[in-house]
Amino acid sequence: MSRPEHTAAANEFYNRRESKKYTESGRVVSIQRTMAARAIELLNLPKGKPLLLLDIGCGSAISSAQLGRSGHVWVGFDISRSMLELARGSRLKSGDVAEADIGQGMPLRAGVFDGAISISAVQWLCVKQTPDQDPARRLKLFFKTLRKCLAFDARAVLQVYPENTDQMDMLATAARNAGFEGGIVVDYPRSMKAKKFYLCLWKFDRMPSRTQAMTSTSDSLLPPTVQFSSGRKKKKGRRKSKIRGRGGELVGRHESKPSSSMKTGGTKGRPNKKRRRKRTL
Amino acid sequence: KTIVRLWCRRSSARGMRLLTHNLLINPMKGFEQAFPLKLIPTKITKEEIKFNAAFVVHLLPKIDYKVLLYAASTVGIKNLPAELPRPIDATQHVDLLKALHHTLLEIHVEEGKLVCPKSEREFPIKQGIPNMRLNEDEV
Repeated sequence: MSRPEHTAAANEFYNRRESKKYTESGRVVSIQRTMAARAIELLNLPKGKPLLLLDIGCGSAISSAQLGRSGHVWVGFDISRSMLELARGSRLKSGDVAEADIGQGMPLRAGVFDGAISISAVQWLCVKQTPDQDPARRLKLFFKTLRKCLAFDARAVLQVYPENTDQMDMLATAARNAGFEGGIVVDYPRSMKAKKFYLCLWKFDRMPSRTQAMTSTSDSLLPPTVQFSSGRKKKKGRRKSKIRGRGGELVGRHESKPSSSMKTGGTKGRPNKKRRRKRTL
Repeated sequence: KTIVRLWCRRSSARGMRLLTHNLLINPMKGFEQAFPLKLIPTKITKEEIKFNAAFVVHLLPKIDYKVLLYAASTVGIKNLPAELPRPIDATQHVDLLKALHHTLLEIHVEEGKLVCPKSEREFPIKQGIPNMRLNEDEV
C-alpha cells in the first residue's frame, strides 16, 4: 500500500470522497482524537487556563475539537478545502479554520499562539507535491514561520508519520535549524503498527537567563538550561549512552539503531522459538 | 449507501472570527508587515459562546487593538472605546470585556474577502473559510 504523500498532493488526495471517508470513519476519528489528546498532554500547558492554540493540518477539525474540549480556543489551517468544509457544527464552536499551504509559510503574526499541535500532517512537507517544489525550502519556511507565530514560552507538538528515519531526521534538522530545540517522543516503540512519533519543540534561546527572568510561573515550560556546579564529579566509566540533551541540540531516540531483540530477529538465537508479538493499540 | 438522515441538524455558524482576522498576514515573501489585511465582509452571522473574562484578558495583549477597532467597524460594531484602559481588570471592566468577547469571538464572517494593503492581492472568504493559499507563481 503506497503512502498518501506519494499518491497525490495533500489537497488532491483529500478530495471530497476521501475527506468524507476519513471524517466518517469511527476508527480514524478515534485514533486522531487520542493522538490529539496526547499532543495536548505533551504541550505541558498550565492547567485550568483557556489558551489560544494553533492546529496545523487540522483537516475536518477532529483534532481541533479536542483542543476545544480541553477548554481552549484555536485556529486551524489545512490545504484541503474538502476537509475544511467538513469541519462543521460543534467542532467550530471553539475555533476557526482557514485554507493554507503550510509549506508556503504560516500566514500569522508574531508571538500570538500559546501552543501548536499537528496531527499526521507535517510529513507531507517532506515529499514533493509538484515537480518544481523544493521540500527542504518548504520545511525551512514552515518551521521558521511556526517559530515566529509562537509566544516565547510556547511549545509545538507535531505528531508525524515519517516514512523512514531519513524523513524523521529531515524534520528534526529543519526544526533545529529554524531555532527550535526539543525532542522526539515515541509512543508504543515496539509495535510497528501502533508506533507514534511526536516532535516536541520549543524556542531555542541562546540566553537562558533571559528566558528565566521573563517566565513568571511554571518551571516546566522552560527549555532545559545548563546547570553549573562548582564541585568536581568523578568521571564514570564509559557507557554507550542514549543521546543526551545539550543546549541547542535536538535529543533523539536511536531510530536507526536496532534494539538487541530486533537484531536476533526476536528469537534470541533460538530460531525455533519465535516470540509472539503482543498487539498494543 | 442509502442511509437517509431523517433529522436535519442545523450546523452552527462557520465563519472567520475577528480574532482570527487580527492574526492573519499575507504569507508572500516580503509582505510580513502587510498587516492588517483589509476586511470586506459580505455575509455575517452571530453566534453566542460562553463568556470567560479571564480568557479575554489573556487575549488582549496579543491583539492589535487599533486593528480590532477597524475590523469591528467593518461589521457594524461602533461601541468600543478608542483606547483600552490599563491595567484591564476582570471585575472592574466586565462590560468592556463582554463587548470585546462579542467582537472577537461571536461575529462570524461567512462570505467576503481579505485584501493585502500593499499588493491589493485578494484572499477570498467562502463558506466561512479564508483562502490564504498562494499560487505557484507567487511563491
